[in-house]
Amino acid sequence: MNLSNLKKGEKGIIKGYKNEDFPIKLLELGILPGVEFEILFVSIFYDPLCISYNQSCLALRRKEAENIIIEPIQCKEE
Amino acid sequence: MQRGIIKLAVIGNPNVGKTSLFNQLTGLNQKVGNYLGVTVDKKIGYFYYENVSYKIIDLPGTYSIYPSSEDEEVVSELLNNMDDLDHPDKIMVVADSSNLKKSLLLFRQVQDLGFPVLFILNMLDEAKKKGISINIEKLKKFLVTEIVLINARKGIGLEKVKKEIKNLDKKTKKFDFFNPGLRYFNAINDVKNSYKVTTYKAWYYLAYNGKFLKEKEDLNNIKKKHNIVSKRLQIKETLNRYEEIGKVFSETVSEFVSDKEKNYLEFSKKIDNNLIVHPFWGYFIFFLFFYFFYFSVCFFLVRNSQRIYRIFFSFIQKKLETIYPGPLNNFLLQGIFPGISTIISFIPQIFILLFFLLLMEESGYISRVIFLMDRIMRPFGLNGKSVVPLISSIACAIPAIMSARHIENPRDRLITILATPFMTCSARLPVYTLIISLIIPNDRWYFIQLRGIALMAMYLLGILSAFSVSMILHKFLKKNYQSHLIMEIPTYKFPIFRNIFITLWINLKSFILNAGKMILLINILIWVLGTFGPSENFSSKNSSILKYMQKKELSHSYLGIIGKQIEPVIHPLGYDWKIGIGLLSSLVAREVFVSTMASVYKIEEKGNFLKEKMKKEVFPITKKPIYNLATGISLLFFYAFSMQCMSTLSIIKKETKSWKWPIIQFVFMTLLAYIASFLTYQILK
Repeated sequence: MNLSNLKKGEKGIIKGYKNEDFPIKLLELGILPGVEFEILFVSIFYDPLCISYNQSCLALRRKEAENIIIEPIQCKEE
Repeated sequence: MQRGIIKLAVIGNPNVGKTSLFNQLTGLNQKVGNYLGVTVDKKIGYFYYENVSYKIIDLPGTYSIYPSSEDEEVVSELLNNMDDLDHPDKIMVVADSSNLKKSLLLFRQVQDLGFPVLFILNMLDEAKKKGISINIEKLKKFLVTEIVLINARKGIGLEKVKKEIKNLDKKTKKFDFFNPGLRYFNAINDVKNSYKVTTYKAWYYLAYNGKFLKEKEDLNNIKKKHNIVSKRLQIKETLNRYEEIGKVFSETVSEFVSDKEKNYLEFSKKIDNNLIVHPFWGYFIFFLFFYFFYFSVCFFLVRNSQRIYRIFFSFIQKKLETIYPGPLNNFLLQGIFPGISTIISFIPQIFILLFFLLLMEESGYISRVIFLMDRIMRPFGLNGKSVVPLISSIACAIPAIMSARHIENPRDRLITILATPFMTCSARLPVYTLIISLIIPNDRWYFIQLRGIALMAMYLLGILSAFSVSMILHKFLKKNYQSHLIMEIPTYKFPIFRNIFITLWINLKSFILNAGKMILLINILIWVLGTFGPSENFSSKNSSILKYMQKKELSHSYLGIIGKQIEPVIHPLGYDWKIGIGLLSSLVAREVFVSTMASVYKIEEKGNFLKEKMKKEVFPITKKPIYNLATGISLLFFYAFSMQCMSTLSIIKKETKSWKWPIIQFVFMTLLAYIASFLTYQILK
């Protein structure tokens, strides 16, 4: 499952990257394996997405989001 | 004096308060890289503490020493180029206390490069409010550095910063925090031997392709020999450093999110979700905002301030005319005075528009606009960040093109730079208003003013052509680079007006000194060309200069002669040689057209005198009025498309680092303007 599969308001944990072809900036910003995040809001066509993690918010495009492997966290409400 | 100055650099992630600290330390004692000069790209300021002078360089925000945009390349260039005049002796790394991890990554890298570093923790009280507490003493030990706590917004802790900077030891630490590992041992040794650098620098050269190195051949050979992929090295380094940072963090920082903070975050999330970045209301608010500010408030303020300064200047001019009339007085009044008044007329526009732009940037709204617009801009080969240059160019293309530096992808950036001059900048405004008032009657349909609609249409034309051009470029430019948008969205902040005004002041100063120089120079040149003509046309050799300046003699001046020479070329567009003079002189800057026409018709800027004279103008042969609808619209189109701004061309040359693009742009826009005007005139005639 990758990050772009989640809907607005859903949470997940980052597991890794699909391939090496991703901007290093994501790593430098702390998008690392083990980090928890929530999809905060999305733009039209679900692109770009904004996620919150470690007290920061980050906007990234769908293309980048598709490259990030995640594991969803089930919300308590469900 | 240079020797006695200690050079400091301020480094940090975006939005950590770097510039606030910089402003607090230096106040108005700063300057910015100028538009026309090529060498300086950074903000430089000075301060004095206990008999030592300090020169601080405020660097663009960055997350690591490996740059991902040209903006950030300034940082790596400065840190590596020992010959750079501003190569820092000491470095201050500024961090946001409530978001420490990312700052620690950058801090460690700078530390490993071998600089004496001071770690500055900003906004500690805000972090406390958020329930974050940091064990400073422990952190000091882990980081092997001095730490200063400040509040840059309120100006707390500045004395401490100055003191610690002074005490900061110039000798560097003994060991590297980052361990490259055995896999790269041989490659690093080879780099160390050929470049005589430390272990970490050798690693850095390998990981960043040594972009800043002049002789890269050795490095390339070493990389080939040891089969090194730079990107893998960067990934390894980042992961390793975060591992260490995680340990340091867990031992020194504890987080407890209070209810109050939770409520605040929930509230701002709600505002974002339901209004600012809402798929419908978000755009609605954005357009409303721009309509309101740019078309109502800004134009109201700009127009009124222009009216006031015009009254003021005509008053001074009247006063001066009566004192010592003569050639010198004439030179001052006709050659220099209009130049100065043109420069001053730009100040309110730049001031007001830049003010709103900075306000949006400081408050955190701009990044939300980028988020909203990214998807919409992409089909045109632009990206969300192109919104900022495109909107700024409503004021002036020069700062707008400079602001395109935030765009990481070179292709997107180039397209943005080339599309920006099509937007209706404020220099076109005086030309548009003059021509519109000549050809469009001052009628109203209920609340709608015809002239207002015409002006609005010109603005829309600007937007439309900017987008069309970027779409064409998007089709034809090679797609070498992957485009991406990765951007932190800051929390909303109340803007600090001190920061806004300092930035405004520095930009204005730089405009007056650089672009202003050009405007003044050209005004004098035009005055000379328009005043003097080949002397054989005049029988009396003793005639004073004054005689040349009489109105009837303008057709015999150099400018008049050139204007007549080009008349056959511009006649199909519906122009006469007088307009030709206007076109020529406004090659430098569009708004010069108005003042040139005023001097062609020798009119003091008073009331609607110029308009009336222009309205009465007729073609000598056909006796038809020159300023009819066809000529007027043809002129409007010419000014909408033509590249008549030398400063913009020079900034494009500077930003694209080549002559190719400014030349292509100039030729393309001039041709486009000619064709568009030709067609409109021939159809409407």
